[in-house]
Amino acid sequence: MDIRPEAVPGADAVEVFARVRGRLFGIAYRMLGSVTEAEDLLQDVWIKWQGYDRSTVAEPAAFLATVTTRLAINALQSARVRRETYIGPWLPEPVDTSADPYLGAERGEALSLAVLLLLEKLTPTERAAYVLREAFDYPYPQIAEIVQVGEAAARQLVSRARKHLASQRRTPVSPADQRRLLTAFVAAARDGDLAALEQLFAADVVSYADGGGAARASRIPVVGAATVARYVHAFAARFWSGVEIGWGEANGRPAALLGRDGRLFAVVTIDASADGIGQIQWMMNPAKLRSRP
Amino acid sequence: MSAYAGFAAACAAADPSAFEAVLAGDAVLVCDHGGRRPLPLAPARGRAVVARVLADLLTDLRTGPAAEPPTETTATAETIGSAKTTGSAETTGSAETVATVEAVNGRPGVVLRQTGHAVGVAGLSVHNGQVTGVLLVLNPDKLHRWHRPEHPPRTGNLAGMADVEPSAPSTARMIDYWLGGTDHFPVDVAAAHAFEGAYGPCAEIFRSLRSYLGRTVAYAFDQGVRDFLVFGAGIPSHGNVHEVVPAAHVLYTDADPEIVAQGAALVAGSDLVHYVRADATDPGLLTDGTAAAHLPGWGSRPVGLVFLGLAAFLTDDQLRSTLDMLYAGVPEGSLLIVDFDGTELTAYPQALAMMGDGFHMRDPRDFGALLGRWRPGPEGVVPVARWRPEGDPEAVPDAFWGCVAVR
Repeated sequence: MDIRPEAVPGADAVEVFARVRGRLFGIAYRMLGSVTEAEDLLQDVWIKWQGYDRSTVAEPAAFLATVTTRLAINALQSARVRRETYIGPWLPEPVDTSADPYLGAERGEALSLAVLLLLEKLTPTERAAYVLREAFDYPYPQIAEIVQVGEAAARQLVSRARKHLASQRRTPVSPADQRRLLTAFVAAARDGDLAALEQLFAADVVSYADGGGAARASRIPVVGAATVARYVHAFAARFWSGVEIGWGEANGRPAALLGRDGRLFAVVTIDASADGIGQIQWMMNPAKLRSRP
Repeated sequence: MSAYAGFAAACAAADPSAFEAVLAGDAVLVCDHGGRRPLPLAPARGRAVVARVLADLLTDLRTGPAAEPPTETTATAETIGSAKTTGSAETTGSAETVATVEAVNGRPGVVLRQTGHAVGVAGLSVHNGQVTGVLLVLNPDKLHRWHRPEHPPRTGNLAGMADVEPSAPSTARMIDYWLGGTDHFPVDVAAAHAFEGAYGPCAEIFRSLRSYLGRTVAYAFDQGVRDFLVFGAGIPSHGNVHEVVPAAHVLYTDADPEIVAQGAALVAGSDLVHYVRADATDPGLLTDGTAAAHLPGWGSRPVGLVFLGLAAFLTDDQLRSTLDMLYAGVPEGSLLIVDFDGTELTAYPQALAMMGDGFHMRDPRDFGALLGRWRPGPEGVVPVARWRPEGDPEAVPDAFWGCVAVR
């Protein structure tokens, strides 16, 4: 990791830690499947951070994520030894994601009980690479550095983990169907048509909004067909007024580009399977929209 | 009914045929009970087997040890299914199991509670409208974060409240929900969740706003104010005015008759505190004797006017003229406690759209002009968390701004 001799005054140890705590918890919980163990681990990270010569740390967020991941790899090894004597099946400790927005945030990936259970079948290092990639979108070179392998090996870890989990994934629909569902969704959303919206959704659909407001925690994901339909309905009338809709692509998926007065203000994408629309992403973060033409 | 709601209803009924109706033929059930229940250690497979195991388990839960009182004070979610799991309602020691669909690890899941005490949390896999997998956590060590305070019964104890739930959400009750109160309905919780989906968590922001109310009202009391007139008061609990200054006279007002009925029931029996209906933009109660009847110092000594959560719903003209009427109606030395919405919400187009057409955000630099003859105190117009903070101001977005102004 990048290390510079100056920078980062000591006094803001608390502030820096508090700012990234949500993400650190997200990593630790996905690694351990236990809120209690994740919180204990964060306590250890905090103690290390407090005692560390922070003037040598150029990027505190990256540094803390690295410490957390490496400690979690060790903690998972000993947790697994303990779980060998657990009576009956072991399941992760469930979390209320409507009360803890940080967990559901970022992408909400690698979080459902079913996926956390499958992650138990991976080696701790595979699991770490997968979590950093799928849930937090870390670039491969950074993952490689955190789990202390070469970049090629990091890619290998993630792809092996994906294969393990592939059986759990639903078959995605064809790009043409994806586009058709997106068009139908935008039309129903615009009309605020509750029944039409619910019909398009898989029962466990999740809607994620990435807004602006730089300092804010992430939006709470909205979960479930009826709730997401109500949610989309709740802002339909005013949100869509004066909106020009264009069609394009984002992250390899068809996207609806929403503009007002000639200015792009939102990009809407969906993930769909044979069950219907499973995820909706509303990208409205000006910083991330700026890179688009 | 969705597979999730159907599963919740089957849990509440402890009915094998109800389970069979929502389960897929090859459904699998895995239970984590940490050895504390006489349940199979291997996963149960197949619709009939899973349905029977679940129905037996749910029937069993009611005869378990009495639930401990819940310890946490977080919010509740919408109740989907609720029924006695026992065949005989008179059976002593039986506990009602309430099953609700909530966000479990970012997906819909079902939470089982008895008098607010979580006894199980299930993650469900659903394909083609059927439940194919149930991961059921019963180990109490993994459930303590799911306990919730149980709501008191809605009817019969709040005078003036209808037997039926309100059909539309109210901002006052949504705020009550965010403040951790119990005076709200599922329709309010749903609206609060929808707003948070577009904006982000709101509880801390409203707690910060409530603590601004606390600091400003306590400050006014320290300045000698003993009579408070509160506009748009909402639910009078969770640090509302009379709880901050219990020795003062407080007249709460609100324009929403439902809220007035609810509020009046809550403060009934107090000699110092009253709740009446009034529209903040038409402060006839200043002159028609209502204020004088409930506030003994009215007209003879400075009063405190609490004007929170209202400016955002008034146009500049309405706000200017209302504040001016209030100025004219109170003695010199009276204090005005006011807030307004800054422009922070513009960054959240969906949330902004939910606020409707009558919602007005204001640039803090323009607000002073709307105060007219009222003179802002030395703190000026600041984000509410930074008005005379006690210790470090709360780390919340600058959604609300405010000031205390003097006549």
